[in-house]
Amino acid sequence: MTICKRIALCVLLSSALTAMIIGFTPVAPAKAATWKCYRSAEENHHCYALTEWDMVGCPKECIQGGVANIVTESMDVPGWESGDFVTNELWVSSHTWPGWVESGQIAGDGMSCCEIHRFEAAEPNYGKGKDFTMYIQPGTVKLKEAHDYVIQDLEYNGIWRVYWGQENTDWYEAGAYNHEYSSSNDELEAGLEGGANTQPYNSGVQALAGVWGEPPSWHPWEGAYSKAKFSESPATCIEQWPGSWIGNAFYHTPC
Amino acid sequence: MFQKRYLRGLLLIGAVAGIVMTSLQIAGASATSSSNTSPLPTIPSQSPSEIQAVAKEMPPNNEVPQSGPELSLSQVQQIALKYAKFANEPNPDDMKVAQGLFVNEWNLVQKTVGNTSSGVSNELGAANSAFFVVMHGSFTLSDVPVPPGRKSPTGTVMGLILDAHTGFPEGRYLGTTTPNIESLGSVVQLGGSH
Repeated sequence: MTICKRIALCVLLSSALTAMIIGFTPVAPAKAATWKCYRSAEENHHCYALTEWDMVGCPKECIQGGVANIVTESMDVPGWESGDFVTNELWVSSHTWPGWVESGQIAGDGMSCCEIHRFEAAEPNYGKGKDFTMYIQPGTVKLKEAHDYVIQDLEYNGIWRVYWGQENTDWYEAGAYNHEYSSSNDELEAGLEGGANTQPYNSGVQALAGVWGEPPSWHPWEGAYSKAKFSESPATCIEQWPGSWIGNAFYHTPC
Repeated sequence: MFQKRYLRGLLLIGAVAGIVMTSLQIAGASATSSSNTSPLPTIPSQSPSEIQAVAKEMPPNNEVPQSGPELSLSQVQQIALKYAKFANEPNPDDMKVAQGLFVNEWNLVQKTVGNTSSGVSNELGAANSAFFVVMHGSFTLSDVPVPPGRKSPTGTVMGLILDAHTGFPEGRYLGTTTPNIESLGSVVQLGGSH
């Protein structure tokens, strides 16, 4: 056997082994397939699939709000009659104060399995688990429609305003919260939340931006502030939109 | 000679099989990743300031007109008990109800939590008739969304605003202060009393 043939045989052998190892190695499932979230009186055991944008805080990193443009593609909450719910939404909060403002779209919670409604909810800083308020709009949102949710305080005066729009038009102020809220925040989160004892079914797409600057303008979640990351509970998945930044993602449950 | 050819044949088959398996797995992963069907939504073309400026004049675009008969007080009580149970309080005490316009009831909720900002939900079904139920107990709202890592809201007083015709749960309050529903009009005791 010539040297050339031996080399060719070795190359073939190593190629075959490599290909076989890669080809026959099973791909480990990325997520547990079992929904492990539930509702209880003791703690919050809700499940989330999120893009989280945690900043270091003012004056270095803080923002005046954010926007989420959300498309819910599918929704079914089988346990809706017992209080199970699913949301696709945006949260604005802070590492240093306990209050928050949130807005998005919700299904379940005693209303119906599959109809989607816009909502807003908030808890003031002094609340620490109390003085929670929530508004749910009786009208429904259709699947595959893009709806915008803006939460912002452009005047730095501690009044956090909630705006709703559709396809970037039809804007109106859905609410304003001004009691005991900070005038800036450093934590934005957006995605899916499920409080359900029975596995719900939901998928959606979101485009996100934060607000800062003078004049205030939109900034993608990933850029000047670079600590955006994904967070997933069991049986929920979130993935970055191909070729885009981390704030633009799609999520679903089950995975 | 035959053995060498046999060995090379096996290696070739193994290589081809491995490559095929790898390709199938990559294709499968791609199919999963692209399972969403909607195009990526875009962030608003208007600036944050422009949205704030135009939004004040815009009406809601999916308001539901009220029609049909109003709920009976018995139906109101059943819905209130359902939401009390969701809030882990199956036996609420001192349940009372008043009826009024939604906007007045929502503003009462905001007043109860000390929110005095102008423009709060002036547009949200303002003129719709609604029931405002107030009840007492030990409530934990595990059926509402909260930011990740936060505890579910708790309180001893729960307020529930229900559409007078459909019973739709438009508004909710949970805290320790009893909203003054007497300011809305006549109050009816639905169950339990101190």
